[in-house]
Amino acid sequence: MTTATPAPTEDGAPLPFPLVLGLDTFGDLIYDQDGRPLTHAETIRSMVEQGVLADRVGIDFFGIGEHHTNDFPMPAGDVVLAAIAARTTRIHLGSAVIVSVPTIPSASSSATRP
Amino acid sequence: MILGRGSSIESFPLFGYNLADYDRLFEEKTNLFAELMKGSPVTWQGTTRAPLRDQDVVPHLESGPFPVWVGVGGSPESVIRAARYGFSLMLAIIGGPPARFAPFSQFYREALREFGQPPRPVGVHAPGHVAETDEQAQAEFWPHWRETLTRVSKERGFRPPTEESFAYDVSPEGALYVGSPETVADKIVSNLELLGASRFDLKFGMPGLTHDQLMTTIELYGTEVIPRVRNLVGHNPIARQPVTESTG
Repeated sequence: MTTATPAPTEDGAPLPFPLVLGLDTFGDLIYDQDGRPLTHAETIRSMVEQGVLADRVGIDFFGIGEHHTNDFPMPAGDVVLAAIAARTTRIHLGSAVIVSVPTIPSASSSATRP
Repeated sequence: MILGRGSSIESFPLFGYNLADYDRLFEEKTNLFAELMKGSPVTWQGTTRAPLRDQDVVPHLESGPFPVWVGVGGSPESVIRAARYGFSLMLAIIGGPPARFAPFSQFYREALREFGQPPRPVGVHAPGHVAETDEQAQAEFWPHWRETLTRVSKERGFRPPTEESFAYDVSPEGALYVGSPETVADKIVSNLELLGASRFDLKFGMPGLTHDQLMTTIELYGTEVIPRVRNLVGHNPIARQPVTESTG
């Protein structure tokens, strides 16, 4: 494993942690070139492509934030992350954020979401 | 994994919870999650779900506890909670000057010491959009930022964005990372240093942007922004460690 040089702090002391540069998405509804919204399913399929590209261009982390609205149709980001995981090798995948109030760990869902 | 209470509250009616129980729910669920991270079996009791006694929870964690972060939007209680459990701190900064979050980083480090926890990393999560030029990035992002934030501002009771507020937000002092790769990289570097943070997550996208615009943001972020940030903070551009290696 390559050892990264720690990032400097404002007073010049090294940070004890590696620099991590990632992307987060909330499943923002995508529109076409003519300004018409795509369907929720199309938006989610696009997100899988986004995660795969993020891996390919060297981004450290790809996170999906849980939302339950028409503009952010992303109730179960871990399922989308699983689809991305099947097509990537290097990038870290995770929640950003998973809303722990209803979700973790309730009787209706797994306690082992990413 | 990043845990949060959620600044959007649509999950409460959806899952049948009462918004008045917001704090109690988050505290208990975080507490139970911390127990789960210790590994099975779990014994736990609270007021928001049935108790667990010597409960085996599967699958067992393959390589021990994974890194857990708590997303914090400005509540000191959440900073203390993250420190108490030894979770890392992710500052969600979506408006105003990022500099106002610097005391949170300091407070978090002090709280970790107070709770006898080892040092943990601080991260920043902030919205943005990358295109070839500043002008293009702003022109693509602004109409959708205005529309979404205007709606959210009515729901949450803050001031809707204006062209003036947007100009401030995308300036070096503001919270949005909208611009050319160079502009965005320079802003990331200066705010990581300002906040003593070692992680930056760009929240990309906005309802209304196209698939191609998002793919361009991702490509420019990976191929131009990240190498420039690593270079500016003295990194070998290909030097990289997985998040799990030393942040767990």
